[in-house]
Amino acid sequence: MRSPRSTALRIGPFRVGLVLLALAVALSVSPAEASGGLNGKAPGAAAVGPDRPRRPAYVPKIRHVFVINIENKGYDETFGPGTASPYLAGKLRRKGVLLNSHYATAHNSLPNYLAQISGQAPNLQTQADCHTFSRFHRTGRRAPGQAVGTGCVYPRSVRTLPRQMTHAGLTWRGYMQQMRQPCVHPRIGRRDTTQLATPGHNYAVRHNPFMYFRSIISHHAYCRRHVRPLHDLRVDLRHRRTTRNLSYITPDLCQDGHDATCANGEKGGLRQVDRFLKRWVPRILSSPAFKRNGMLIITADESDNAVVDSSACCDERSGPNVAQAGILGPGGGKVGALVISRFTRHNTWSTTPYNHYSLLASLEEIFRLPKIGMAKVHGLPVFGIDVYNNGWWHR
Amino acid sequence: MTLSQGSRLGRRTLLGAAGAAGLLTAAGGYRMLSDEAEAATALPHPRDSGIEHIVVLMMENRSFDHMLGWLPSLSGYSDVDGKQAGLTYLDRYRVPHRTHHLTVMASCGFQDPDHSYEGGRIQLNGGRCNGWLRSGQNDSLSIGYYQQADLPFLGRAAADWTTFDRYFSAVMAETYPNRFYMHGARTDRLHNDLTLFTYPTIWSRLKAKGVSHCYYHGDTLPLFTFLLKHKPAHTKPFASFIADAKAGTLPAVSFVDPRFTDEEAGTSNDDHPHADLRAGEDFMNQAYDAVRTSPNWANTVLVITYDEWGGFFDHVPPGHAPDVSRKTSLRGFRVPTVVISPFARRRFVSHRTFDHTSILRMIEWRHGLKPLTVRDQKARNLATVLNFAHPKLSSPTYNVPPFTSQGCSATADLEGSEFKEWPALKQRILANGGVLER
Repeated sequence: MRSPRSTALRIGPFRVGLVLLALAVALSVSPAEASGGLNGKAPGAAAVGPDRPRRPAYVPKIRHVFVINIENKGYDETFGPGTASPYLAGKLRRKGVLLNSHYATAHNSLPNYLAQISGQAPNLQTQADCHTFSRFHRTGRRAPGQAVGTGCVYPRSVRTLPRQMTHAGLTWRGYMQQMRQPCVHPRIGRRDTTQLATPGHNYAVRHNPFMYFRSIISHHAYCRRHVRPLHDLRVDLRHRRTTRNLSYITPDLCQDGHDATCANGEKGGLRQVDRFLKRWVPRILSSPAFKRNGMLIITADESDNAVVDSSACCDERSGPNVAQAGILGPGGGKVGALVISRFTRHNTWSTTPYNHYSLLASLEEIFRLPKIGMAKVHGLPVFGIDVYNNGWWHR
Repeated sequence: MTLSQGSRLGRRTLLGAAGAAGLLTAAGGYRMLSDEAEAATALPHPRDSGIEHIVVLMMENRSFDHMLGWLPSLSGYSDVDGKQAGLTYLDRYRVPHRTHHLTVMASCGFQDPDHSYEGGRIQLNGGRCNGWLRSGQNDSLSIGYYQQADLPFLGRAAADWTTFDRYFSAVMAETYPNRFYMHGARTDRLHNDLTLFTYPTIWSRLKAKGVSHCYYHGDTLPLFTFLLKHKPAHTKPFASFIADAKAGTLPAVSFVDPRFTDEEAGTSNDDHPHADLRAGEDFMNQAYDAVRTSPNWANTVLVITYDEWGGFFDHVPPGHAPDVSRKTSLRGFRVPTVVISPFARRRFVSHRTFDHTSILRMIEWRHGLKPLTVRDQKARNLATVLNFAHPKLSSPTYNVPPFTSQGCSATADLEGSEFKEWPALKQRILANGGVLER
């Protein structure tokens, strides 16, 4: 922390600054990449290895991150004047910084979740939300960290944020609403029967990205420990030591706003999102871990659909497996993101373009992890003091 | 009223008290005399004012410090609130950058600085005015500045005529909202978008009263007026402005707009990035020459201003103005503004707070028109800076070389940029057979 800061202060002209920044990013990428020890248990010894990148000077000491994805809502729909989620767009929004140029990376849902935790670009199967839980047939590798091929469940060597965290001695859990037991997914090669909600069972595997990596699901105990029904979050929030460093929260098909009419006949959409957030966000914000050094980010996986908005930002690349990440365009459309933390100022904005790969890269900077997949791309914007904007660096 | 305005007024009161003696003895020097003279001005009856032609020329997207922050370095201008060199701003990666002299007149290859409703608030940062490099994708362009010698027209005109160090853009938002304030004293939107502005405008007031007026446009089409439900009765191309001025047939009220297209390619002359400023200087000088050599000159007030700050740095935080909505009451950052007229004080800087609706107020005052909203009703009349007692017809010639921009050689596809709006507007109008909405 101290040394990058003093380096930064010595820099005068703008371009030199950029070059140094680029250098810092480049340095943070390469080491420790190969050592993706993917055995069942957290290799505690590697936790404080000397090869972890430094925390950049623009990243505060956040130790607990909560990610909530709602479903299929463009920025204007969620945060615009006519919003159907006044709690999210009003009361919650005023508690933090609204990223009004945050973009989803793909259509349809699944590749966005995969982007957030692995940096893998879409392929034809993931774009179609993997109705069949097929094995990913890898035909090659391509920079940056991309598996070439098609299919749903990625081979063990494909790197993920959760595995990185475990490797570094950090903790994580996925919390899935209405998942009836830990680590629920179809058997490989079988049909995904959770594509349509039924009354009382609104869990969708395609919104639970952890299920698409052999490095997680093939280690059954590991998977069961980490990918949990949502109600476990309540208990985990009680103490700092039980609150994971990353809590990745997916509401069910009704409460994430996905279904316009829920399977039980209730009206769906953003009003259900508000219901979910009203119940869960106060619990998060009042938890000891969040209050001390937490960050909550609420975003949407993608805009309404590929027809409505498949725009992209940040020079997003489609990756090796599809021509257009957003099917009809380069990305998943503008969705926005709300970030709440003691390191953000109330009711402010960031207008810098970001996307889900930026989010992954930013989480990796927070957790001092090497960048993986599309998060490695040179020049990809990462959260800076435009997001962590409350002046903490003066103190 | 903001704190800064309050303290500014306090300072002015002190100056006023001290200045009375200065007026008598003329020993207080030129600046103090001017300040006192400004404070003492009582407006004449509008029909006796001598103003028969008001010309409003509105450029695009430059801030006061960025263009005119060098003014305090001039002899006698030390009390002007402008800053350029020596300011440092942190970018979003906590790297400090200094304000710097721009050596290119076009801004090809740079990002168009963020000047959105939200971006402006990031830059303002609760009054600290330090978020220039933390909004949008702003790069070093946004904290660059020009010096007097770079600007053969504005560099001279700002120093020779009446200029302002507290003239703010009307609203902390981008082009269309500010231009709606210029035409209608309010905005119905926070961002540029291609829907019709249906509120009354200054044109509806002028039409109702039978006051002659014309909108002169730099583009082939009178682009902006397509956004207005209440349009001016007459629109003519810029060449007609030159001709009408020459013939002495300027209407009572003219708005003159530069060529907005093609900002992206850098061939516009509106000073919006990526335009080459030499084209804008040439354009403003043409309008200036037309006015001062016109048979109408003795009765003309030419106001040259910029619609908004364009995302360029400025160190003075704007405050809130009376407005129809709390959402739009925050003014935008300061913009360069010059008043040129036989009634204009020479080598004079007004320190009072103005915005675009002060121009509307002047037009309404002159022609006995009802205000459009509370904003122009409460605005300080721009005519208060004029000296009606001693008009002076002399006007300097500026040597501004004709300039036609070649544009940027390669234009990157830049995100979130305003310059896509004008071509989109033009296409919509052409596709709809000459109207915005069918």
